[in-house]
Amino acid sequence: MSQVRPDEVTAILRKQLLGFDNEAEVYDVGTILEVGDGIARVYGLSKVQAGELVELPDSDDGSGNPLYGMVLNLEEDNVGIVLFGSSSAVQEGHTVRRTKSIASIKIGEGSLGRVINPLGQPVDGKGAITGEIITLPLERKAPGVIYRQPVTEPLQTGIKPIDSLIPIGRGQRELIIGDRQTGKTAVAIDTIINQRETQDTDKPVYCIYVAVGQKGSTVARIVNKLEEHGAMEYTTVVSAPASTTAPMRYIAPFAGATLGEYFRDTGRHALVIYDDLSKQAVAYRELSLLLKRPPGREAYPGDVFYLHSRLLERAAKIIDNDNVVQKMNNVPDELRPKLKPGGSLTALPVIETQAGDVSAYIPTNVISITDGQIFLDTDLFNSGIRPAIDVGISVSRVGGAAQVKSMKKLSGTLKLDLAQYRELEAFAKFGSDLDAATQRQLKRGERTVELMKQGEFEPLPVQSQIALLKINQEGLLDRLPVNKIGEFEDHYLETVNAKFSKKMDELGRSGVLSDEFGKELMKSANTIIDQLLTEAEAEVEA
Amino acid sequence: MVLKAARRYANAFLHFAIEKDLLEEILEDVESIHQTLENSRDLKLFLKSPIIKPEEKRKALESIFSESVQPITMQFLNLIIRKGRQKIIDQIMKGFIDLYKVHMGIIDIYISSARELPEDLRTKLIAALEISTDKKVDPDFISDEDLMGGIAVRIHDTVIDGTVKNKINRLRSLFKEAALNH
Repeated sequence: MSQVRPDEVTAILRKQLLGFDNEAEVYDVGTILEVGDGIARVYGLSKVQAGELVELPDSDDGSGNPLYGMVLNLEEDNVGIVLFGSSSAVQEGHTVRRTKSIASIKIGEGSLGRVINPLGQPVDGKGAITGEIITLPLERKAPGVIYRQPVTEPLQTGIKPIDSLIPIGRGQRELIIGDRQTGKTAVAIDTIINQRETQDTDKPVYCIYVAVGQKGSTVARIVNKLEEHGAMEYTTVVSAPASTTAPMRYIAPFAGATLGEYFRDTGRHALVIYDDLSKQAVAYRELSLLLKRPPGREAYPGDVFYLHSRLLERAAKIIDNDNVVQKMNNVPDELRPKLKPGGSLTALPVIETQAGDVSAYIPTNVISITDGQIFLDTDLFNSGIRPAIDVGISVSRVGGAAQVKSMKKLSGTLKLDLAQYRELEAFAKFGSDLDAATQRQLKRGERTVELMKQGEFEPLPVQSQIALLKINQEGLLDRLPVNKIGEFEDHYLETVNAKFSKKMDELGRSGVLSDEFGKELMKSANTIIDQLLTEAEAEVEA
Repeated sequence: MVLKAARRYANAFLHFAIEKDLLEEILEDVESIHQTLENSRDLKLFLKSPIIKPEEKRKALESIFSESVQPITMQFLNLIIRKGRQKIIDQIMKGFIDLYKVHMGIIDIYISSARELPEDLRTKLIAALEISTDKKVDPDFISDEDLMGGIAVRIHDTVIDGTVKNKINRLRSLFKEAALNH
């Protein structure tokens, strides 16, 4: 913290005192009837709104500030509130005060690079958020149909199987689903790291990572990794670890969405990752049961679908027409002067399944809400195929429209290769008894699967992916033994990026691979393959 | 807060009293029963005890109140016991008083001040409140040294707070905010 001079302090306090309104204050109050498990029932507060923030001036949150709560239930003769802090300081008979504002967070450009809690308070020990700050409500209606447009721009994740087979567009909602320990978070983090590439362009993607119900140590590790890869400067982490109360975990994704909307509505691009929504649903179930709302399937409340649908609907591609955008629905007053067209908010919700059961309640709900899903499989993960994406059942319903030209062309044959390989895989053990065509397909499939493997924190720019897929499509890799593919990839990318750095940059920008450059790439690849084959022979002899 | 069931009993009894034109007499009874219950924890616990038989409770209530209340009120108490609602007798009485006040257009107002207010100020304040609320006011004066000075008036859920304590609290949060923003 910077040093403050005493005369400065006096000046600030003087200014505050001059502006102090000495009139009697009028406010509405209620009385706590019962409290426990993070919720309280209040008598009074007769004019309170649902979702309103209330203050408990008699209780302390542990740092000298009053405790806050949010109104969730409005009943005939009492109000159910959830507390954003420990309920142990709250007692029966305490006063509850209305704040007359819907639960909201304070955000601004200064939020980038910071770790905040779902109430917008920084938790990284770097002091208050600096710069211009505006207050936006946590819950906001999604933009209506006329303010949207179909996705047109790609959101490059830097992960080969995703960018080629399950492409994601800016403004899309793509679910990442899988059992525990299958690399769901790794996919999300790699995507954030890959947005580093966009920061130097005129359309940078700002990232928000919402950690719900994770271990504090996991959140710290993720923040470290992002810092290490220079990704923290364009990222905000909203942290609601497992140790926080259920209301915090419940509102955390909404806080992330609000922050994302700030970028979306000011004409910029943002990516928000909700990691993970199953834990948020569990937190919401906890609250709902304590508030005595009737339980439904798997004891979730009846509106758990609406919980996720209203959250994910806020991800959108905003229309590129200023006149229309200025009339957008439900824009908070503070945000209205800043409205700009053409922004987007992409959402990557994460859902953890139990033993691969995608037909459980929450997974089916979120699958039906989103525009596709990336399915991560334990068996694939354990057999060394990482990222463990099951390309057979993973889909992207809208992203294809946003894919760059050459990638689209290459991915068509890629999908076919993989599908045929999967069908023939069972016959692979018959080996040489198979006919030549089948053997060729098996060979190609095996190499394609190998090529799709990728290390963690190593996202690949789109031009490198195109260069690799081109070689595979042309069948050059069929000559190489499978265990040499990884080695080839490293050598090849190093060579072409050094040799054709200008042409590669151009390919990244335009997304069009010319025939001429394609041939040059194939030539380089052939040289490297020859080299590797000679080396392999030498090894065998030795 | 009064339970829904208690409100129902109280409402029925109030309407009955209005119908029979016995409102003032019955109100007196109800107030005396309410007062007795408020002052005697033993009696409340006795009525709430699940071990004691309803018949015993009825007999006890009769011996306490039959001399002092109208026969109709006694019948009402018997009805409550017959219906197994002896646990909420205090709430029913409270509900009756609340509903009576609503019926007569009287509102409860809580006036808190750091020191006891002088009589002339009280009458002035009540007169002013009666004009602003357009209702008869039943004031409840509370003195609380923590307020330091000034007064706070609570009408229903709304507080008009002009106490020194509130002003200091507001200044404190203002300064805190200023310190954070600079």
